[in-house]
Amino acid sequence: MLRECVLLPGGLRIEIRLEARGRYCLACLARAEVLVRYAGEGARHRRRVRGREEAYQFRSVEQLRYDFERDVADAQAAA
Amino acid sequence: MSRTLKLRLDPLPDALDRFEAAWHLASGRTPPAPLAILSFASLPLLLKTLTPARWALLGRLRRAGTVPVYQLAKRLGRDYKNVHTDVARLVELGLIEKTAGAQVRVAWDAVRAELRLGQGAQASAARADSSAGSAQLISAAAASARRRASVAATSAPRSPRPKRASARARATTKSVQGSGSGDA
Repeated sequence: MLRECVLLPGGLRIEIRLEARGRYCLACLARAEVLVRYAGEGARHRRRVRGREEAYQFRSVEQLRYDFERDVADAQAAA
Repeated sequence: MSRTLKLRLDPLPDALDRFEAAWHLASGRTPPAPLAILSFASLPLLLKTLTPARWALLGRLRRAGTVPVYQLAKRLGRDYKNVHTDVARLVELGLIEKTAGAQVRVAWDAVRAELRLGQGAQASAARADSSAGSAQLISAAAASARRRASVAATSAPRSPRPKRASARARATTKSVQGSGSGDA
C-alpha cells in the first residue's frame, strides 16, 4: 500500500511500510544494522531499540509516529 | 501492471505525514492506491547517492533483465568489486532486488523524480501529479504537515502529541479521499 525509503544525512535510512490489514513497519537503519524498529499487525505491536525488542503499547498512529521520531532522534544523537 | 518508483526531495517528517495519511485512508472505506517512494533529505545527498555510474548501472541492468552481478560488471566493463558495492547500495534503497540464484534485477519499470524548489510548490505539485494515488497521500500529508507545524509551535518538545491532532488528521484525510486517481 505504502512503501517509502528516506535517506538521511550520516548514512541513516528510514524504511516505512504499510500493508493490508494494518500491517506496518517503521525502521531506522545504519546500513544493515537496525537501530530502531516499530512493527505490528493486528493487536500485536513490537518495538526494537538499541538491540532490545519488547512489546509496544499501541495507542494511536500519531503516538506511534511521535515515539518513532523520538527514538530516531536519539539514535541520530548517539551515532 | 507498471511499477513506478517516485523519487522525491523530502525530509523525514513529510514521509511520516504520508504514513499517517495512508493509515487513516486504509482504515476508511477506500484504501489508498499502492505507492512507492524513495526520498532524500537533500539534493547533495541524492546526487552523492545516485551517481551517474549508478544510473548507468540501473539502465544497463534494466535492459539485461535478471543477471548475476559478475555478468553485469562484465557488460558494464567495470571492476566487479565496485559494481558489487553499487549494487549493494541500490538494493538497500530498493531500486534493485535480489532474486534466487544470487541474481539481481531492477525492481521498477520507471523512476519518476519530483524535485521541489520550495515548500510553496508542494500543494501545486501534488495537484499536478495526476497519475497517482500519491496525489491523495501527498496532499493529505501536506495538510498534515501544516497542522503539525501549528501543533509543534504550541507543544513542549517531549510532550505526547495532543489527541485533538488525531481527530483533525482523520478529518483532513477524509476530505482528500477521492482526489487521487488510481495508480499501480
